[in-house]
Amino acid sequence: MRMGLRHRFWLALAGVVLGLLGVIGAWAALLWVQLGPAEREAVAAVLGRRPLFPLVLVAMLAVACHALLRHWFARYPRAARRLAEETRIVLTANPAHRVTAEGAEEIARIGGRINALAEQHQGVLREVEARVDAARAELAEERNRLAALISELVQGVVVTNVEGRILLYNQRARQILQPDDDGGDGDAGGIVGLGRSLYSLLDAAAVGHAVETLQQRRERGDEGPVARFVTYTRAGLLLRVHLALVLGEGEGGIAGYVLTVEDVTRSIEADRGRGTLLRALTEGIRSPVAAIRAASETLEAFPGMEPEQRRRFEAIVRDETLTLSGRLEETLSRYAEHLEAEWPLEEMSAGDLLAVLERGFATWASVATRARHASDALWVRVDSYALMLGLTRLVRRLRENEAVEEVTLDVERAEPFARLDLIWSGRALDAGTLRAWQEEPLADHGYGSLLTLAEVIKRHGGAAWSQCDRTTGRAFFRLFLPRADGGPDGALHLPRGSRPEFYDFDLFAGPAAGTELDRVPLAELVFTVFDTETTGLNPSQGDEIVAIGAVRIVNGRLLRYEIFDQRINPRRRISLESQAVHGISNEMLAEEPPLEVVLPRFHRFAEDAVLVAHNAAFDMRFLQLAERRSRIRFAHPVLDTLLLSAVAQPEEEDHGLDAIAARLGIPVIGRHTSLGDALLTAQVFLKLLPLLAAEGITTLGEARDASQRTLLARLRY
Amino acid sequence: MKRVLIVDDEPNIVHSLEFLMQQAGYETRVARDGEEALQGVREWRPDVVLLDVMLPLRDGYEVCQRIREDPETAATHVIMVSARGREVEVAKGIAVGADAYVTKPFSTRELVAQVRRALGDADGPAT
Repeated sequence: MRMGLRHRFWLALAGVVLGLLGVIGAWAALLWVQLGPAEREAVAAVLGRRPLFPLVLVAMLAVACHALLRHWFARYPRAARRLAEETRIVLTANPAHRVTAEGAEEIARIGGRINALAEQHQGVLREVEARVDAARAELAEERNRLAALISELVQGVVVTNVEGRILLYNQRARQILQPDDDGGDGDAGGIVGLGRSLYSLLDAAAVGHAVETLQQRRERGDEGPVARFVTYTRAGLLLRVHLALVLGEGEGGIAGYVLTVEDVTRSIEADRGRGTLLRALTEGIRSPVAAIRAASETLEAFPGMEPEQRRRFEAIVRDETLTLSGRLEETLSRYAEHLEAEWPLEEMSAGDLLAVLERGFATWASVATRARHASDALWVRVDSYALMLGLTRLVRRLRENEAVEEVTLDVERAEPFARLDLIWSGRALDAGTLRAWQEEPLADHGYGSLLTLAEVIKRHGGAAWSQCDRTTGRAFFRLFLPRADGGPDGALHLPRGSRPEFYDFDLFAGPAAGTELDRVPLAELVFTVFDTETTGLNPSQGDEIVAIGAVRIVNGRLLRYEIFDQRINPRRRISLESQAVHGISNEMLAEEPPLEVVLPRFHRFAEDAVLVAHNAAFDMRFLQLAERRSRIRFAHPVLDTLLLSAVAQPEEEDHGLDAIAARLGIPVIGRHTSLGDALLTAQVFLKLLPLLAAEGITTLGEARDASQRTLLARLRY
Repeated sequence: MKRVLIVDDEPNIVHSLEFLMQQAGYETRVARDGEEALQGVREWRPDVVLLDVMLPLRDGYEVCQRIREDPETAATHVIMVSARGREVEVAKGIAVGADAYVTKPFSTRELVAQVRRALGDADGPAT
């Protein structure tokens, strides 16, 4: 029973008892007045003999009242109050809770009704939740599909928010915008990464101009336009960029930008080269031809000129004809270099090409194919559709004219080309037949009608022939294809099934510009979690960093593909103790760059982020001592997982990285490499965040204050 | 005798032009670069200049401009004869003051006719 109710109970009891006593007293007084003197004496005598009688009477009355009132209280006010409390639990904390129907019948009936209502309420809630979950899953699915689609595109795609922070990018964009990609740092320009600025990659003025143009067009009611511009990257590449607006809530109804980037350096250069060649050719032949024509016309017009004069003109014709021949040869040889780049060929794995051909043969020529397994590493540059049409035509001819029912496809490396063999049992084609077949149009209509096998062969370099293999008695048609080593432009091949974190649409709703950093929720910040390995433990006595490893956390997500991993030549001996810890020896660092080179790169990697390290004071001391030499200042806010762990779990004593990881259930791999430790620290940090939130620590400022307050913070390293 | 200044740095074409102009009855002189051409125009006062565009020292466009700027020589007929045949180049030649722009290779007969027309003696001295 709560205090309030108990209080009321005793008040009511006192009221009832006093009331009854009053009534009894008044009745006794009234009786007393009506009694005669003798009767009064008798009553007085009775009372005088039993003085406790009225008291007993009062006590009995009180006990009876107490019992009755208690019973009533339990059935009415207390039952009602309990009903109210339990209903609140149903409403706020636990919709599955049911009230206990007790007390008076009426109250119990209300309880039953409330339970029925709760049942209904819970049903509705469940349904809403299920719908929300489904919608969320659908959205996630859509995003994943979109990201997967974009990651496969040949063009580079970058999506940013209005401030130019990158929300999504694909492999190709990274290759183009950060061409010297060796693990997340580049000398020439910025870094492609989620949450990073587009303007470190592309000229801000050029992007700004395109956006302005689009906004003007939009104001005129021209929706969904695309702006194009050509710009140079800092690495000197010429890019063609298409920019479109992402409409949504935001300044001026714009949520961000979609950019596709294409490296046109090579094609523009090729175009320019061809143009120059053509001009050199036309201008180069004009003069000699003019001289020849003038001389020959003169010879013709003046048949009677003197022999000496005539010989002079004839010499001119001869000289200039030779000049002309030389110029023609020169042009042709230079043009040959351009020819190769002319037809746009796609890069394709040899295995995929065989699959395409096999399908084509079966569908269009009704010929079965046995494809020999092609090496995964073999990539070719082909126009696969044209090649399919051309070879299918050939196979159909083989079936019709040579009764070939089955062919074998084989592709192999043949320096410097790839050799594609179409093999069948039977005789080889003689050159005349092959030539005739090669000149036939590949189809009656469409693309194929404009093509011949000869043209297709020409596009791929022009070398094909048919021959008989004497050892097997089988004939083959052989075609040399240009190779594309290492896959499409040396693409970064990721293990299948691992979709890198190339997008984060939540960045659309990033913290508003100008929000004071300390007040930003931790979950919305960008963190660079890093670790260093050193020559020893005393930076003040000249110990140096030998390795820096770092990973990024954006919007609460660890980006495993945006890493920094660099060894450094310390130019001093590594102490044996340290070597025992990290296993790095001076010999291993001989070829590595010095700290003055690495530190600016790391600084760029950590741009706009909060630095996080385990026992950060140690690492920061090394960085700060190097500041003067490298002229790089690390003015970033810093968080220390050691201190944060002490804040989140004050009752624990061991806040070593291994101990925390074990407590938080994080598997430990790759310890004592700077990148491995940085990864572990990042995972620890992410697990600490909810624990800190439970302590009411949700912003950077609060985390820093709490770190300051912990006792450990007072230690100096 | 009317005077034709032939400006070209390629001796083979110069030889033919010289022979043709002489046969057409004109007095000729040859300049092999831009400087020589300007000097020739100022000192020798030709009636017609056959002017190549690609010349050492000063190019044909500049030579033509200079001829037009100097009131003493402004009336000289200038026929540009050039291996550059793009439209913009022809337009530029006319814009800087050439009376005609002939691209190489050209018909010798037409060139002679053009010189004659420029000098107003279509029937001209017999060849």
